[in-house]
This record gives sequence, C-alpha cells and structure tokens, in this order.
Amino acid sequence: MGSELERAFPRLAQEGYEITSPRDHSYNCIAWAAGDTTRWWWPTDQSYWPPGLASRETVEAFVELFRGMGYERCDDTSLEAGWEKIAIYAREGNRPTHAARQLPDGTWTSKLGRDVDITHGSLEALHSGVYGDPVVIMRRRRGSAIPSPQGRPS
Amino acid sequence: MSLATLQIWSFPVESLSEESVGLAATIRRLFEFGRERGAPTSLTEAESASWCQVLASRFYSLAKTWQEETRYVSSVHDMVLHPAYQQIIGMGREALPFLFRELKRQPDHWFWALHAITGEDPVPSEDKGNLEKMTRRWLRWAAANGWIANGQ
Repeated sequence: MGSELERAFPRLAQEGYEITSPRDHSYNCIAWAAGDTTRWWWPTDQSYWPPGLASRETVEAFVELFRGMGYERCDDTSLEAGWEKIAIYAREGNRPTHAARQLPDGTWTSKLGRDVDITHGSLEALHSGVYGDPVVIMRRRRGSAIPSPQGRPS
Repeated sequence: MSLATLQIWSFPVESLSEESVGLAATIRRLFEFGRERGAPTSLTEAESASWCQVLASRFYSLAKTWQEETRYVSSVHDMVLHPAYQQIIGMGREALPFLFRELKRQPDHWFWALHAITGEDPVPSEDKGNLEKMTRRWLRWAAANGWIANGQ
C-alpha cells in the first residue's frame, strides 16, 4: 500500500504521512473536505453537486462550492488559531483535481480518489502528475456548520 | 461464415492481439446483425463460448487497468476519459453483462459507461453521487430489461 502511494506521490514519504482509513469507493476528496462520507462530489450528471451551483469543472466553480460552506479565499497555508482551511489542487492551471482540509494540529487530511484517507504534513506532499499543485487556499471559522447532513462532522 | 472468422474465435484468448480482438468484435457485431435478420449461421456453442472468453478477457483486462490507473483520481471526467474506460464503452452492449457483474461485486463509477451504451439513466437526481443507491437503481434496471435474472 505504502509503496504504491509513494510511487504515485513521490514527495509523500519525505514530507510524512499516515493512512487513516481503509479504501472506500463511497466518497471522494471533495466530499471529505465538505464532511460528507456518503457521496461522490463532482460537477457531472453522474455525481453529486449541490443544486444551484454552476456544474463546471473549473477552479472558480470549486471556489464557489466552498464559499457556499462559509469559506473565504486567503493566501496563507499555515495554521491559524480558530480557522479551518481547505486547499484546492489543479492541473493545467484551471482543472481542479483534488481538495485537502487542514486539521487542528496544522496537518492536512485528504481522501485519495477511491483509495484511502491520509494525513500529510504539507500540501506539497501531494504534488504529482495526478493532482498538480494547490492553487487556492480558503478558510472559515472553526465550528462553522457544514451543510452535509449525512456526513461525519469534520 | 469464413474460415478466417472461425479461426479468430478459436484462438486462445491470450494469443489474441488487441487488433484481433477488435476485429473479432466487429465480425461478431456483423454476425449478430445478420442473425437478428434471419440470416443462416454456422456458429457453434463452442465458438460462442470461445467468443465469450475473448470478451471477458478483454473487459476484465481493461477494467483492471482502469481501476489501477485511476485509483487516486477524484475527477469523474478524468476517470471516464481514461483510454481503458473508453475502450469498454467502445465494446458496446457486449460489455453490459460484465459491467453489471462488476457493479454487483463492487459499486464503482460504471454509470457513465452504462448511460453511454444504453442511452438510459435510471438514477433520480436525489441519488446521484451515492454509489450504493446508483448501483441498486442500475441493477434493478438490468433485471427489468433482461440483462440479469430477477432477484440477482
């Protein structure tokens, strides 16, 4: 398991990571960032996407998604007391690929496609041909309500 | 039916190249087209079984490649545009029995392929994204349309 992950994400090993769940096909990184472990979130007609939001696979559409959950854009990836952050990854400039959520200790949690959840020490740990790089950071006050009634609380 | 056609169907699966499998698929579709219109056939049960082996081998090889190479992918677009997934869609209705078998084994993102091949979408909007519910909807559709036995 570890070696497959590290082949896909070569910086993981040096940045540090821990696998925190078994494989699960039920939800993806966007759902996980939103606190939902029951659905696959993506702007297609074969996935869940909140009604009323633009169904476009662009970074702007994903920013709007998280804005609807109370997040606002910021520039700083460091841990700020009282704030919860998410990062949106993209390839080719504007093609979103992944999202990670910051934990209270400053590390990040990610659901990797249909595979496992991990915690990773930095956003750069997931730099890869699969996800590209983090291109947007957003934050909201910790304890803000998450509009995902079926999901585990984040 | 020509000798060449029968030879393709009687090759061991592992000896078939991608091109041969593609050619066999084309021949098979033409054969089915003729049979549906009452054309005489000399296809034997053994040849049919051999053909099923070819299809199964091709499907599961493509499915394995797709599952391995997209395991960390979250984008449904990236998943369904993967070459192996596109080749499964290209198998057409012949892929349906294998797709339903795979869905029963493990809910996965086969819905795009099913929709592309059948032109149907039995999943209501409130179930979209929930793979368990989407799978149940599709298996119910498959049973109702004779692709799998009722109750399976």
